[in-house]
Amino acid sequence: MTTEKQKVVDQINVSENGIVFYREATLTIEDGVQLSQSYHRTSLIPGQDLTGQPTEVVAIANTAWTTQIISAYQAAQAAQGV
Amino acid sequence: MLKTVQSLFNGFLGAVSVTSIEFPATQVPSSNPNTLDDYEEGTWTPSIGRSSTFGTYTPGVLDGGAYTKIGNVVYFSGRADGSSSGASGGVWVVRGLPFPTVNNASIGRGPCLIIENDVTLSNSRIMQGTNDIQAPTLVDTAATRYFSGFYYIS
Repeated sequence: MTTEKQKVVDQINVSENGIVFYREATLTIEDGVQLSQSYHRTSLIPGQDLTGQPTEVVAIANTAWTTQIISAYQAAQAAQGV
Repeated sequence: MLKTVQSLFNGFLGAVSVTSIEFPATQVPSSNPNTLDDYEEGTWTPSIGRSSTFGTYTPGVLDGGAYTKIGNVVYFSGRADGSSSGASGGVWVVRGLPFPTVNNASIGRGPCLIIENDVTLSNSRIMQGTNDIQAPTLVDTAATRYFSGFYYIS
């Protein structure tokens, strides 16, 4: 009997203002049969440090986070008093 | 909810036993306001820093968070006992909400309960169009912090 856990990024989304949020699914598999799965979500604001993030997420963030997007996000947050 | 569903089935389809309702792993959005189109449970990781320069967060051993998404509402709770270094500017925030909040000034903001070292922090709130909870009176040292709330997403 072999039991293994697999982690996969199964969803990556980008909001209209540039927030990248993704879901990591952890699958428990025994002898090739999936027994269970659980989710962990992470969200990243434009310009945030991407150290340690999954490669595919970094690629999308680097594409989505143009200078204009980062500036617009920071300006919108500043307007809310944060 | 379950009883209501069973009542509907009993009324329209005869006696049907319902033990669970499974939604697709990826939401299929519906524009019908009477349709429940998503349900998801999971975990998330909170961290603490300043809104301008976030800095580096060193988590506590019990840090973590959970969420349940029902339709367009996310319920969450969490704990972040760690400390921050190198943060500056803006205000203190708890960052990392599992979904970004709706970017709408009318419904994107809302209260969030944060208890730090047995004291309820004043003026803690969820901000619109972000993944941050603003916590102006939070302290920057390690402390016991619990929080919970809910918010709308797009």
